Amino acid sequence: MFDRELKKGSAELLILSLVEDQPRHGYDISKLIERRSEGALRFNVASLYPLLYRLEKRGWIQGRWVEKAGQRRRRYYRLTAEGRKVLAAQRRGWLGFVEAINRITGVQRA
Amino acid sequence: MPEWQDEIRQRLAGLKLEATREAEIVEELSQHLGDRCTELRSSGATEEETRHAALEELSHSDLLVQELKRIERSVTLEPITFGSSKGSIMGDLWQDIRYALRMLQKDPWFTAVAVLTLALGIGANTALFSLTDQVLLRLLPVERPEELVVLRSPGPNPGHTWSDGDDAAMFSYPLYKDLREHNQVFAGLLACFPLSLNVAGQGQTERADGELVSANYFEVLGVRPALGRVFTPEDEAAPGANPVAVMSRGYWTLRFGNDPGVLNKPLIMNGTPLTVVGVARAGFTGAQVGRVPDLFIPITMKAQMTPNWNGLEDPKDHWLALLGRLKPDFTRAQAEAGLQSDYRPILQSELPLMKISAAGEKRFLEKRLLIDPGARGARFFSGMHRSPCCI
Repeated sequence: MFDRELKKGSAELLILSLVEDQPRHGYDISKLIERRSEGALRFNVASLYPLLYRLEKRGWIQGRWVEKAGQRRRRYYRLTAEGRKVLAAQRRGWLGFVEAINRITGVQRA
Repeated sequence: MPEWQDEIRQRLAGLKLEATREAEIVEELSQHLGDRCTELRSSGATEEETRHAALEELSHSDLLVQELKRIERSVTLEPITFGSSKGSIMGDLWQDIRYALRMLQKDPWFTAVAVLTLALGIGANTALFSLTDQVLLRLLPVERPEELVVLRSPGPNPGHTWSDGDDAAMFSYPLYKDLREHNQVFAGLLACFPLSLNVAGQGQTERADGELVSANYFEVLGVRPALGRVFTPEDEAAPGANPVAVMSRGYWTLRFGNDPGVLNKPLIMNGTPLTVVGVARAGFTGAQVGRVPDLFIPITMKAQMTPNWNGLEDPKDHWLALLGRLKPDFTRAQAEAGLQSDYRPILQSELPLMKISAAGEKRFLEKRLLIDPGARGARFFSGMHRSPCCI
């Protein structure tokens, strides 16, 4: 629905926000994005996992295999201390960006 | 799910990822697709629709491969060329170390077993070397240790012999005194006997290693005090008349924090109060192999220190190790030859007290006094440990 580049620019912020409060596995993250955006945003396997691996490589999130009784093991991602700082900075940046765009385009929240 | 694994594996094949990493990615992605299929089925989708939707997830697999190629550092497989000088030694070493650490991290159980095995191996070797060093290599930390000799007298020892190793190296106190007074070869001859002590003081009781010693012990070894005094001839005046003790430097530090106030204070040892009159100099570890006494007590306190067994004045109680310092002019062979004329009259004087048969008498009187090198200490324990150390 949204422009691909626009989605790409916000993807990191979305994922970091979703693992802020609790560790989540990839499928859980993709469903949450879809549900909370009411279907406007959707990440498939090919786009979501490279992003998760990139964030992990940067040390912003950390993946860990977790086994629970009666279930197959899953890889859960949690926010690292470094990731928490990055998330705060990205939130500030995003807010500033949206406000600036709004000021220029005259778009106001209804 | 297995069919998704094959699909994903095919798409990742060109990446040449490390096998474990590839397996992890395949597992994670196929789980995602499996979850998606389950969700679609439960919402009423047909099998065909489900499969189509799942494949849609992989529709941009070129993007997936492209992104993963950028993120995952694949292992570069270079041909091994023997003798090649390419690359730096430090760089290769660093790479090897990182690889080793990664491998160890992957299998914590293997790492734990490997570390434990190494620790036990190093520990056992260190302990064995320490023992070998003490028993076979290290000289006693005393003045001119090469002048010291250990006395032995193989043959019948009527009565009781107390030793953990070589019976021939144990002598009675009366014989020691006779030999000390009547010989031409020693600048000094000392006697010692190890024992365990219960030491009470400062409101607590604890075990300590003690040593009953002749009054000339420190003088013969050339060991000076770090504090107070060491024993003098007066400290061997009469049985039970010398309630004093000298502390090792290590014990003084460990138990009393180098407090000089310990001097001239009584400590209860095996139930008898003994006054601490001095502390031996640092580095002195006694005259016996493999044993470091904490406290030295005059030999005349025998009855008080071993209340169940006195035997101090009994020529049939053989319990003392004797260590002599040769006069400068004597070689060991000369000293040994000279000693026999001093030893025989002592044996003759003891004979009536021994109560042995005629045949036994002859063998008793034929006993010789032998001299062994004593630079590594007395034999109370060394004979016992020497062979295993050599093996």
